[in-house]
Amino acid sequence: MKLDELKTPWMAEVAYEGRTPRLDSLTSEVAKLRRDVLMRDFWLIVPLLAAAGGSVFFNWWAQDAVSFMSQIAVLSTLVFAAGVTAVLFLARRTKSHDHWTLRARLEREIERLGRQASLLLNVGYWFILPMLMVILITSIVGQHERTGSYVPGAIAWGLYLASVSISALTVWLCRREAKRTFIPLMSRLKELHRDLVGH
Amino acid sequence: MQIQFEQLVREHLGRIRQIARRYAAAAAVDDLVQEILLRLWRSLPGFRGEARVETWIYRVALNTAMTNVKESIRRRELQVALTARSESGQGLAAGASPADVLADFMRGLGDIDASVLMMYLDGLTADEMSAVLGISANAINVRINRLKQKFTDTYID
Repeated sequence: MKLDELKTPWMAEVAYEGRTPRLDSLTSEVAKLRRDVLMRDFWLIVPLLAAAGGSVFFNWWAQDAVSFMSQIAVLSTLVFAAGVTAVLFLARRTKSHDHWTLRARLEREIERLGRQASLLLNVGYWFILPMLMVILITSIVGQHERTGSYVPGAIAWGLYLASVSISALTVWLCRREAKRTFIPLMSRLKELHRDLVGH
Repeated sequence: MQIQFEQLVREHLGRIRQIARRYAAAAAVDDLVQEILLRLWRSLPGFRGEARVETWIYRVALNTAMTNVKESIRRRELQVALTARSESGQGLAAGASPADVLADFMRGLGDIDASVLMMYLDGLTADEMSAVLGISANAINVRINRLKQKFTDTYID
């Protein structure tokens, strides 16, 4: 028997006519997929921008006089929201495309997964630390405007403690997700890529 | 476009299912078939008929199967366990049917070689395979010759 003789059983298996899937459900799934992606982006970015906008409105625009410290607090919120939005957009920049070759697709996926893994591994630097800084600045400015003192009260200390605890948990969960999901898959794709181009 | 797609699915579902069977664990074949169909539906407007339909299907199906996030890891674990248990050619009864030989040979191949074999058996040329995989036609021919050699070594006394 030669390898070419396997063409007959292969063509027989390929000719198998199974149940044709319902295409109306298929097309509605495509629409759902697009909606899901849109909603995910919406819930990540819009609340951040709304918070920044609210900060500008309530702490700056609606005030008669805005202290230098208040301006710093509002600006830090704006910079944080803009920075996170930019990071998320940049991480999604390499979008996969069905018409590329397997090699190109593997390279794109490796790059995309690398970006996502890097985002999760470094969440402390691009999200948590800036967020804690914004919380610290805005709370101190608020405390000063209410009481005239820069020394945080008991409620502020409680807020800091809760923020740091939640942040530590978030960092741990993100790093775990990166190590469990993204890095093993990236290794697998790199292995496939090596197999494809290495011969 | 929907009628065109329905006809295409009817003609090529067997091929898509065979590809999915190679790249997914048994319980996940239907999910992978569905995923491939979704990708085909999404990329249908960009398919202008310049290449053969089979080439386009292989391109989309292999891209989907090999970069499927959850399934890829699960199947990889399964494949490692299976490979540890048996090498191709071993345990195949004498007088096994060509379909059994095909399944056995396919099981013993890596993902890339398996994709080359499927396309070869389907009659795609080296240039067409090159357009799917993104490596040179020369490299494809080298792989095919190695596959033939491996087949001979394993199944011909």
